[in-house]
Amino acid sequence: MMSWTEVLNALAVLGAVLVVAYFTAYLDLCLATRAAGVSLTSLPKPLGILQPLCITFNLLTKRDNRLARADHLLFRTAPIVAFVTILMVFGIIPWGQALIGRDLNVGLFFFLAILGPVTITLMNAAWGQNSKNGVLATFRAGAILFSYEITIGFAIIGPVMEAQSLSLEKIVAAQHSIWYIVLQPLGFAIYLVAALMMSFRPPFDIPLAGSELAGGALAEYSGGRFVLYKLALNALAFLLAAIGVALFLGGWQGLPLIGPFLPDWLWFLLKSFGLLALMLWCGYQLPRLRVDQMLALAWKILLPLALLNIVLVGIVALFV
Amino acid sequence: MTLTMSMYRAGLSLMLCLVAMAGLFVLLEADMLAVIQVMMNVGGMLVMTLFMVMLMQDPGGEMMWDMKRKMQMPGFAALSMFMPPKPKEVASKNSSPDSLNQMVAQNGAKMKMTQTNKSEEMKMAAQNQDGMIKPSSSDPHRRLREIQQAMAVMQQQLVALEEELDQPPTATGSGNMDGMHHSNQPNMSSQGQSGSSAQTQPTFYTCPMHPEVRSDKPGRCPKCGMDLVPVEGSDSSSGSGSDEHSGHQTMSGMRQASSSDGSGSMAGMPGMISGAGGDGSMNMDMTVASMQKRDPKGYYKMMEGMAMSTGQLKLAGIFSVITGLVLVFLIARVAWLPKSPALDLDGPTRVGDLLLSDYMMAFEGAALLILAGIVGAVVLARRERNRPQKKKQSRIASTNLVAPKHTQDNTPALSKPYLQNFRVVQKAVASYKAASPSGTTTQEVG
Repeated sequence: MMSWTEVLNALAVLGAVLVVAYFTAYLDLCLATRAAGVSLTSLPKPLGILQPLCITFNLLTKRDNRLARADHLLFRTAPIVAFVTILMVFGIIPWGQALIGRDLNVGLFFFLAILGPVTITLMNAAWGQNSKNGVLATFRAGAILFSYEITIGFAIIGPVMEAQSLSLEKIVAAQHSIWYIVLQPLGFAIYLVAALMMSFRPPFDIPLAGSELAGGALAEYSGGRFVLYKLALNALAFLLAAIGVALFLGGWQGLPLIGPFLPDWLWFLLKSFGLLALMLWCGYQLPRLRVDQMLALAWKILLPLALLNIVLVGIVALFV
Repeated sequence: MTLTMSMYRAGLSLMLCLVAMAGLFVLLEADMLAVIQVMMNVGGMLVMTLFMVMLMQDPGGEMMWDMKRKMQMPGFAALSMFMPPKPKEVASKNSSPDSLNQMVAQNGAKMKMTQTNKSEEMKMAAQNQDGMIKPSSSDPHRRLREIQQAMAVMQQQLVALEEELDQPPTATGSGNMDGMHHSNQPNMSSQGQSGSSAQTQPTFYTCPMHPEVRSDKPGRCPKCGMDLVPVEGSDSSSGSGSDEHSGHQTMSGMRQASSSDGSGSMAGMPGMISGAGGDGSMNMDMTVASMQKRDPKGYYKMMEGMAMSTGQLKLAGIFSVITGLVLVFLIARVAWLPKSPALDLDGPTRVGDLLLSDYMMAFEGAALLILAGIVGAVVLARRERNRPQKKKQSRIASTNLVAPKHTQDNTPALSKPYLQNFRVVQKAVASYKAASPSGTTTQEVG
């Protein structure tokens, strides 16, 4: 049944999540520093590379808050469930040519379906803390789930139509001649916006809004649970960027004209962090959207555009 | 209602159950079905949960926490709930002859107990009822608390004595001007005089809603039909009386009822003044606590009806774990399908073909069943609204349903959907026509 290689495989995925989430936090820190108009050299010594680690240890020394009138079961399990869920999806990321946790033949669908519960955990966290802000955050998270899930679902249909497979390996392999961003720029744009919604990052951080809900779902967390939730959310942001790279940017393949002069996993990481930097940069540069504006954007603009994209991709697939 | 009253938790449990079924599909190597199961049910159950929360007004965590506190559940025991231990007999029978002091001490201790909900403190205070401070523990914090309690009790005794001296005992007969509310309000002073004799009284039964109803044997209240609850006649007649008083106040929403009492009844219970003047929750606490003391089983039943998680949860958990294990073993043991390499690996196509050919009827039937369930849930959860009559009339009059242009004899031709409500519409039209001067108004409306 379960062999040692599978255990090692799972441990490798766990390690990848931790490393990647750490560098996501570092990238976030760098972008925040730049957005504040401060030079990176003003960060603590080696360019602030140890800063997320320091913050983590600082947070870990904090007390784990026990809320007075909370639904403890939901509140306490939410970060753990979120982290485990995201860990599961990391198994299907194609890091390199044969470097993948598990190549599911329904990989992309798995990614879409399993990320629903992450939002559910946010709702649990918000509902469990039993505050007014929490209830608002619960309903916001519920509303956002359908907005991004349907939008992103239609956006990823394009690459699936081109590659005629749900397996991420096959989708990446199908892009060896031309990346899908060239064929489907509209699909890529829709994916990017929907991924931003899905990552609960600033332009669309509706359920975690710091300015309106005082942190929303994460308001009452402290200590280890807060660290775990932040870790999960950072990993989620990277995950969305990585899937975007695999779907539209050729995955681990090198640049089509220049050729692969770097190892494939390095290509994948470079592209993923590049896309991630773009997403995070949007968070710092674009104005935040209200919840109604966000829902209007998702349902009235992105969804029709995604349907149009499917038609366009169909035409391209037929005649090109 | 059996396992939890939290709508959110119930919806979440259903979601979890259906998502767990995806695991069975994975074991059957039907990945596609498993993923569909997860995706559909997370979304669908989420919508259902949100509707339930919004329609039913889920009390949420706060109520659960309160129930847990009242049931004296320690720590992180939101999952489990056990029968609260039966409180021990509080007052010793061979107590001091100073019955007034004893009674007041018990009263004060009861106040304290209902505020902090700890029978242990009551016991300690009852030990100190003769005014002596007897530290029973070597823990300095505990001793400090005991001494503080004893001081509080003594202070109450002092206040009670002073007021007792101020008030002539004849003025403290039971208030009979308001039979509905406090006709048989037990009077502290009079009972203080007869306290020693009350110790030997046998147990009697009374109605929780009508304290004036008393009976020697258990039965039903002649006024409201509720079961009579036993009252320890010896040591807690005064206490239960005051508790019934407070419960009565809470039930009838009379927070300031003590102001309409005879002044003597207030004199006997200094703790009651602040209790009755305070907020309603405190009164509720006192009622709950007194019921817990009198009737632990009934108290538990009541709490169980309101609590978020109940004692059956453990059983249900064990049962579901066993069921899950049986399912998993069944799937692991039985050779369900011959896995032949000739079968194509394109699961989605096959599933789609099967769903729309062989299993068409079952598929549609399940869909219809779910639809019926949704409609039924909405109908059940709908809130009755009483519209004012005037508004109803104006609504009907302002709609198009009585606006046929071709009618000559002012008889309104009713459109089909409104035929069921023909009478209502007819009545509305009649009154509308009566209000309007001529029959032309219907055409104007149209």
